Amino acid sequence: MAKDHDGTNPRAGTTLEKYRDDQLPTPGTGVVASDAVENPGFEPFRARVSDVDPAKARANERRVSAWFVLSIIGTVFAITAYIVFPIVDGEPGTIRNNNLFLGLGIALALVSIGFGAVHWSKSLMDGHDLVEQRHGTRGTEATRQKAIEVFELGNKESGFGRRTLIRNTLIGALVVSPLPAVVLFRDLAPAENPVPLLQHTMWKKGTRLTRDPSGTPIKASEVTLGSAFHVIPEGLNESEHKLEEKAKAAVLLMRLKPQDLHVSQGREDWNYNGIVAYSKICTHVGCPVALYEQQTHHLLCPCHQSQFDITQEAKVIFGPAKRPLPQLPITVDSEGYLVAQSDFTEPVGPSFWERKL
Amino acid sequence: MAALAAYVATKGPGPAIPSEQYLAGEGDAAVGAELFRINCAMCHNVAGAGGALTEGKFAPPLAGVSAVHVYEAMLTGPQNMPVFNDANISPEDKANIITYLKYLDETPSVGGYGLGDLGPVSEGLFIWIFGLGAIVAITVWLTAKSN
Repeated sequence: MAKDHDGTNPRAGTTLEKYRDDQLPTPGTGVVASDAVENPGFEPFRARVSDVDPAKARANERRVSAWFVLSIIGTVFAITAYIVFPIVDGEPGTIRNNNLFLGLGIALALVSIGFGAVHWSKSLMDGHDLVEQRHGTRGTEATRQKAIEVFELGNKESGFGRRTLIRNTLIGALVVSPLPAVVLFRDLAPAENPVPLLQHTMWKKGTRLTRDPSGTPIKASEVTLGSAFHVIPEGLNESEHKLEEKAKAAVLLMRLKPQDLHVSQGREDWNYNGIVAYSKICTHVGCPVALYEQQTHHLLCPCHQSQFDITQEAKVIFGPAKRPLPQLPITVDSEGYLVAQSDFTEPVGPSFWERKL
Repeated sequence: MAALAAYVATKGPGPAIPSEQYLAGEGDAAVGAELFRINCAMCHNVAGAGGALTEGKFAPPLAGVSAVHVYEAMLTGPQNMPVFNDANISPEDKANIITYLKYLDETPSVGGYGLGDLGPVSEGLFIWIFGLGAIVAITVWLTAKSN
């Protein structure tokens, strides 16, 4: 009886029962309020002009078909525009015209279909309000009985419940099969401790300051008053992780009048005749700070408007940054080129959990 | 103008009016673009549309600025602009930057109207007001009862 492959069972394949009295929607676990708002029901039916005046109905009918005719015009326009405004090699302006008019045509065609359909349904289709009840999703008793029979027959024919060795090893195989994912996802974590990487940059004693992007060294005499040089450490262009290193080591080099600098104790020899070098990485969230105003000596971060005063060792004078930009101690070598005295004396860029300062 | 420059030159040494060979815009636009991104774009915007500085100061837009003005500005650093002397950016590289700016001026925006080339600020404002506005208007129309 459970076998139904020949379709002899007339109940086979019947779908859900749509609606039954014993399956009214239940309130579920929701709290029933004692002073619940009463369902006011529908507003009284108000006839539309199309319902009472056949002339208006005909006018609306014409309007709907006008939208659909407009859609056809849009389609024709799109095809015509594609032919009239071809894309010419080497003339990028022709791409814009082609895309613009093709797009306008297709948009007109599709939007008109939508507007026509909505106007049709609102003005001409039946205008009565109605409620569609949800129905239960429980199948008929016969359907449920048949599902159980299918399972029981499957169990009997395959011996799934009887051959426990097969069953248990299958379950075991399925349980362990996702384990390779654990190994794969473990590798998404950093391979090495990132903290030392954050604490140090490419700069070290004797590294020449070079121009970004050419990598040519800079003589102190070339940095005239009011100049701003964008600086990378020597050898950056040849280093293995060029972008990672540049993101930490980028420096802005400026020359001020030496008497304008307010140098704190311990930093007396960090500048060279008023030439100062500061990390370009904002201490807020790490944007490159490079908007240098040569008269006010203010350095502005374009992301969140932090301002640093270069005359006061890049002190924060406005904005969300909490620490001054780290200064790179510089001097000149025997050939007159600017070199670093050491790495930065603190980590550059934004805060991180393990930062000590 | 040349006479005025000659008079100023008698008062002390200083940069001269740049020679024509660097102003024609016949350099390498790609090299100029890289130098522009490194040295200029943080203030002047990557498309040369200008931008705000502190306390109401601003970096002016560079569209339509003559090559000789661009060159002289790099050399002298007007107002708060830093100086980019010939040791920092060589005359050939200054010519490359001018070539890039000329290219920006002469190349039409392929993607359509640029909304001032200000990037996500103007584009976001536009879609926020007109895109969302259109969605709200259509929703109101869809749900309103027909007369």
